[in-house]
Amino acid sequence: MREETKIRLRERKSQPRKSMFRPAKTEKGKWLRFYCCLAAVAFVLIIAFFGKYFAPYDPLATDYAAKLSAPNGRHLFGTDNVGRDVLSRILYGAGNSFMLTFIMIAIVSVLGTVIGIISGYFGGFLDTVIMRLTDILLAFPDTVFAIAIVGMMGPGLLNTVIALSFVWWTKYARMARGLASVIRTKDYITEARFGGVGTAGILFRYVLPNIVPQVVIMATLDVGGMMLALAGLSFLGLASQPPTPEWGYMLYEGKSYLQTAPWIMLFAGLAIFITVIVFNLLGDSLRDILDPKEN
Amino acid sequence: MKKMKKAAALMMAIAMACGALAGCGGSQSAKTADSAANQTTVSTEGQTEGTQEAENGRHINVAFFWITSDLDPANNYNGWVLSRLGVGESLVKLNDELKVEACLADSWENVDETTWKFHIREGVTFSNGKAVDAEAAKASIERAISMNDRAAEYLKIDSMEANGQDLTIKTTEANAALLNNLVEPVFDVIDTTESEENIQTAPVCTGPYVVSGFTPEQTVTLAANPTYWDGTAGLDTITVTQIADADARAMAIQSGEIDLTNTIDNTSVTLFTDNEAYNVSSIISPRVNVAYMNQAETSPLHDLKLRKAVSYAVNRDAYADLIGGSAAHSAYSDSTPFGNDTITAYTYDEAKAAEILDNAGYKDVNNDGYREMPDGSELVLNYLQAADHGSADSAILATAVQSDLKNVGIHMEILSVENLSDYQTQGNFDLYTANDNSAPTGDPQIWLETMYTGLGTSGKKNLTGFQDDKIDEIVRKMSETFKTEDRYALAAEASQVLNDDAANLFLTNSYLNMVSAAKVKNAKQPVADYYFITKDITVE
Repeated sequence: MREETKIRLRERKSQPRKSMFRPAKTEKGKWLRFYCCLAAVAFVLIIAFFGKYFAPYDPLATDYAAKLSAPNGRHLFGTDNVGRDVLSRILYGAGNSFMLTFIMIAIVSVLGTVIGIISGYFGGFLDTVIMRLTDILLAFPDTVFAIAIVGMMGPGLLNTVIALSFVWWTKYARMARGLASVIRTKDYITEARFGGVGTAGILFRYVLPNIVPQVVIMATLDVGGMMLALAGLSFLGLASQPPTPEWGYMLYEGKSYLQTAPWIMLFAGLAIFITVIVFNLLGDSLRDILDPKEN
Repeated sequence: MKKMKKAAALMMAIAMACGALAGCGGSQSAKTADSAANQTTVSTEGQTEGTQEAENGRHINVAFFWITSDLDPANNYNGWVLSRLGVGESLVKLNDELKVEACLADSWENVDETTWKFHIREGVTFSNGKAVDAEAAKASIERAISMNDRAAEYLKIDSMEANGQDLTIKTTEANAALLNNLVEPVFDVIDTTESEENIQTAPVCTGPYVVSGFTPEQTVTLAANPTYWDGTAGLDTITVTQIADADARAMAIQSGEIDLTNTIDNTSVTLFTDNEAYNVSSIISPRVNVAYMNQAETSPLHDLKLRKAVSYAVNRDAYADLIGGSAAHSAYSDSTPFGNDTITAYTYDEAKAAEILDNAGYKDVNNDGYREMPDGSELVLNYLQAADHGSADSAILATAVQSDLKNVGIHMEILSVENLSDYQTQGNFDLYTANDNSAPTGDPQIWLETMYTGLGTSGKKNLTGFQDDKIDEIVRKMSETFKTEDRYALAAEASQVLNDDAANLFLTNSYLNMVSAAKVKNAKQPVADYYFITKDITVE
């Protein structure tokens, strides 16, 4: 929800000027921007999934003699506190970070949408119960809540996925529910029902297709946020366990060396920063194209 | 019209914003004035308070990695904090050679195997002016024993007799370690006539400083003890703040927020050495970084051959280089005089580790790069890692051990945990790390007894299920061996047994680093790490 408000604010402010980072006015501009962002995301994704084939070293191989080397010809991004190559760890880590993020997004968007559609379409008591439940979950700051859950269940990737899913599905449910409850009252739904289409058919053929674009936009915008949340939990030592190369955990490992060997944190931080920006821009432009309000 | 409305709204908004800002400012200054006027309020804002008090006299701000929830020395390990504060003192103390020196007792005599006689120094008073006599010392020790299992285990007291300044202690059995064990801060002499509440927040002791304010787990404010028996304290006031994280402590001293701290990681010490703005005092401490190995039958490490292979597979010298300190050779730190130079220790030998594993049947049968158990089932060692003393060292060690074991084909998984003790008590581990003081009282017996026999009763204890009759026998002999050199020889014998048993992975002897701002004088890291603030520390 927060992202949405931010975007709207940005749109309003941006009217007079025109730039790559602000919504283009013309249809052509919108698409151009979308393709640029898509290319950038594709580039990041290629690195994420094929990066390990470019990695110069084994990301787990320690070399005590070369510990804390500054970036140099042999180690482009330097080495960490046990002599592992930072570049290789970032390349391998990209795969881990992305895979997790996508799995999480898939879980929460599907789960949230299904619950939201059921709640919005059928309404009544079920709707009240589900929405009050989301109210309760939304009342907690999500990362803090996730930390609490992981703290109780013990650290580890699986527990982190469960904890984040538990707090994250609500906004998808909210949105899907809002859309579904509007769609439900549309004439074409009534007509379809008169035409003998069953509930399942209506949900899949008429309701879901109208909701999916919004979910896709939200999910794209969420990639950055989810990645940050995961990195945050890893930074606290709750998600990834050593020696898994993962960006958030690399930040944590580099923390003690911020002053003496800043490259450990710098490159992992940059990787997160660039990825989050690229995905947010893509989400932005996707929104411009798909948002029915503007069309 | 519409424009005017807008303008009016804007004006109102500005006026409100100004009002809000002014309001905040006002309350802020009121609060500062309030805390200045009311000195007894314990402020968590160390810096503000510091600058205010600096005008009144010599003041420094200190960071500890740990401040306890109360200051009662008999409770758990809280005495260590009270002792570090320069508030609590025992009858005797340890010097940097780990030898016992006089403190509140100025002389003692070992009358026979079970009788000890201490003479309490004349003229020592508690900070409230009451005289410290044998009766007061006896009451304090009795209180510690009744409240703390560790205290009882350390002394094995049968009866105590107080006569003027003479304290006679009779033990139930020969306890040659008694004199050394009395240095433990759990025996800090406090005025037991004070209320329990006072003992918890501001115990009345004999050290150069007295507690003037206490916020549990956050801050302690100290003032010089006007009745101190051994000269005068070098400072008028001290604010001690808990900063648990080692990096945060390093940054706090860089920013000037604090003037003195210790347990700075070796990786950050380079920021302060060769820098005129700071003094650094480093020593190799009696602390040993140990990876304890579970010897219960539920763990694969139950097998001595596997433990031996693991012991050969780890590159201790490299670890010492990674985190500072020196490679460990035995259960006792090399900084102790317990004869480590006379024993054979494990050296890094990958080939030998592999050979032992091959011969014992640990082979990679499914070609996944890791060896399986001799019966063909999967071999995965769980290694619990927790940030000990707010240091990143244990995480680095874990990664390094994991990598070295991988080189010999042993699969080890690291689990970073906060609640280490839960896992330990459930026996739910194969290895766990700790940074442990191997000579908490400067004597070898208690550590052996606590960690390697079934006798340990409190705090640290034998959680690995280690048992060897030879060690039990050595402990028994130690109780009856009163000559220091003989005790050290027994310690060396024990070290050898533990190495032969591959009891645990003794990785490195750790450095203790104390860093102070240049203006702070005489801050020196003591070998016994329950000492910290002394009467000698002062400012220019």
